[in-house]
Amino acid sequence: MKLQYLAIICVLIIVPISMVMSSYIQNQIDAILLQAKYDSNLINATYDAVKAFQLNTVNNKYSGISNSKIRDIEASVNTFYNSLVTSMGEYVQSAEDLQDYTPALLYTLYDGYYIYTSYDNVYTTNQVAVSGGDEDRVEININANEIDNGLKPYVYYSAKYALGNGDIVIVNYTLDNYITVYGNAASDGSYVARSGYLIDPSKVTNIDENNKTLIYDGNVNIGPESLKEHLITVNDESQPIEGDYYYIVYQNNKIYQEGTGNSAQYFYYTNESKKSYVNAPEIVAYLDENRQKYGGGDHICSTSAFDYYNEAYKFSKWVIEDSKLSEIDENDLLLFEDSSRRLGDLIGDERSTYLSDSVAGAMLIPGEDNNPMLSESAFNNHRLAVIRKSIETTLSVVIDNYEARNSLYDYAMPVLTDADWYKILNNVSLTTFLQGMSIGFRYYSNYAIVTNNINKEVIKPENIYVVVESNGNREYHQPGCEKLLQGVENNSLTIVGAYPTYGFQRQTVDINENNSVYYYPQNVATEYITGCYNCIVNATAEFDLQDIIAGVDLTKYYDKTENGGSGDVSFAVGEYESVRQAYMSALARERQDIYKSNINLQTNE
Amino acid sequence: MGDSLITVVAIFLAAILMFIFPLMSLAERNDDISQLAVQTATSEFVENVRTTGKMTLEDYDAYLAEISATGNSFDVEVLIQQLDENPGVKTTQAEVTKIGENLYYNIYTTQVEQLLDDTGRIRLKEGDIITVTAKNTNKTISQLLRNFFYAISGNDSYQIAGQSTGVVAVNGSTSGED
Repeated sequence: MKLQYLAIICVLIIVPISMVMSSYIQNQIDAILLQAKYDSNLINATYDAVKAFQLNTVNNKYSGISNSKIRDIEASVNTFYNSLVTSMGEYVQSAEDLQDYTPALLYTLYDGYYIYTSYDNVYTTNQVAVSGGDEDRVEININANEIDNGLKPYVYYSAKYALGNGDIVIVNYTLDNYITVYGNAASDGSYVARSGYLIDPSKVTNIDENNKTLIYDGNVNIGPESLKEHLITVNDESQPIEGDYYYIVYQNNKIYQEGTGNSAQYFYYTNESKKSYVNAPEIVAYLDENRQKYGGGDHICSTSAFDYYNEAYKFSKWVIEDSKLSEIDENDLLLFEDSSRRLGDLIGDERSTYLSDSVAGAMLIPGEDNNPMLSESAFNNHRLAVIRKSIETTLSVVIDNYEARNSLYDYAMPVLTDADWYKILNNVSLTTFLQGMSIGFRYYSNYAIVTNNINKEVIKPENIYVVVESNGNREYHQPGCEKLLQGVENNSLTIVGAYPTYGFQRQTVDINENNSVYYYPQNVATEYITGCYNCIVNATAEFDLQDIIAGVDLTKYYDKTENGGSGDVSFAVGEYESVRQAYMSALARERQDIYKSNINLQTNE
Repeated sequence: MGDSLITVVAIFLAAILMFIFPLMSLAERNDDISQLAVQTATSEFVENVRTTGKMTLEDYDAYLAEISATGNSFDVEVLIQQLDENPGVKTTQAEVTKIGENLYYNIYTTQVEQLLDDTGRIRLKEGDIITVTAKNTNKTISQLLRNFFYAISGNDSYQIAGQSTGVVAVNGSTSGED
């Protein structure tokens, strides 16, 4: 055979193979690119939804209240679908189309979670007039096959425990150290329903109920605080008026003071940015008394920080001394799938993998080595493990049910990594699942988690900023900022106070249709307040907030021995005392002031 | 004489068709697969930074190791744009419709690497923008072969590239073990 023929035969074999190969690989590349595009679209849409929730809650003065919250979440769901439809324009026609691919959206909030999914228990009443027979009547057909999408009822982060005598105690957890206990949990076996913050009560001393002062952890002096905010109000002539006002939170409402001394008037700031003056005589009497007693007759002062520690002290004392919670350990937890069995009844792998984190002893009893305010305490580890199990159980059922109704794809709950759970369990967050969209030869399945840092739902340790003043300029810092700690230590910075992060967000006041003005609540005293370039703009706070809460020497993240550092201490406890004091007061005050649905159901104290 | 000339041409042709063409085609597929790996690794790295709000030395090293595993050397460019809202604060009452009150500060690859070496992690905040681009710096086999026929010169003659960018969605956590 001639060489040329051999070459031609070789070409005949190679060319088709290489063509098929190249088109196959091109397909794979397209699929990967599409997948990357979907990933990014999903994160963007989730982020938009979180942002919508954030904007709505921060600008809504009544965002804590349940109805209002549902409205905010539904708005956020719409934003999610709109954003996803817009970014996927070429592949999806409408939000309804997308609902076939999103088996669940999970909103974790302060004390529980909402899941947005499809449900089929929609009983549309279909009235049919039937004539004939004995008499004319109207028959109502119940149509159970219709599928609708919506929020499932709120699920609390609750867990059931069995006491030694067989009684069941329910504990509702939250994203912080606030818990609610129901059941025959009193030491005499009677029924209780009590809520409170769990702290280590031995840290609270020198309680003075009259002057509202106490000492926390030896050197943090807690007492009445003067709080001020900058507001723009709209008067009856629709003119915006700027002003700085003292405020306190009383019965879940912010009340501002206008004018000082005896000419003071009090008002609520309404959603329409107007002043609504307080008329109720008992509230005015309370405010006047507060002003005389704590503000030297000049202005009202917040006693929330004191109330937080004082109430938490009483509640924690009760938990330790007068409740049966000390009988409970992890093994008494009743399984989420089957509440007739205890965790202790499980054996082997089933037992060891049921909860993501195992703790020994009575985790609900606070003490020196179990300080619930710290993230590594036994209470906290157990709380996170229980919340995680609760969400996992509910979510996998929801997605299974979704699959039963929708045969488009084999929907299943993906395995979330520990890092993902960390995000979900530590903040108000949104987790979205997108499954079953066709990409090339495969189906797409992924999820996105975006946490919400700025909200009025929960006060996490990092949600407090410290305001300082230097030569008349105001600046806000994260408490773990080296510039702040250094400046306070060498007296070049003076601490003004500490406020939650949403106080530094831009607020909008709509005056009329095409005119709105902005303000920042913490821009008081006509000074512009700017973020520190070290910790706010560059986000490089070097110190761990857990160390500040615990009151131990501060070591930079990378100097810590467990991170392979030298172990050098940058600030000893005594050197950052004043920052800690401002921070711990603010953390307590803001936690006390957030809206809670479970406040002392029984005693109403 | 004429026959032997044709034989020489035929041998050349046969060599090109039987060896170089398959080799080129294979090498190009190989680059495509590297391209896939690099693009995936780059977007995963960026998405991770976007949703956690921080970039750690471990993650960055793992990313570099992953793209090097394709057998090529890469020039990785990281650009972090940090949002500064302070100038906007000072003009709160300015024109409502005005945009662009906020500034971005850029941090480039060398600075990013230095920060990672010094502190082990870079914390970002909501609103910051991160862009990562990886381009191969070596000549891949398919590039070499191609240069044999037609040379492509210049700095940007890369064959494998991955790029991803996004706005950071959360503030990097400051407490706990994170």
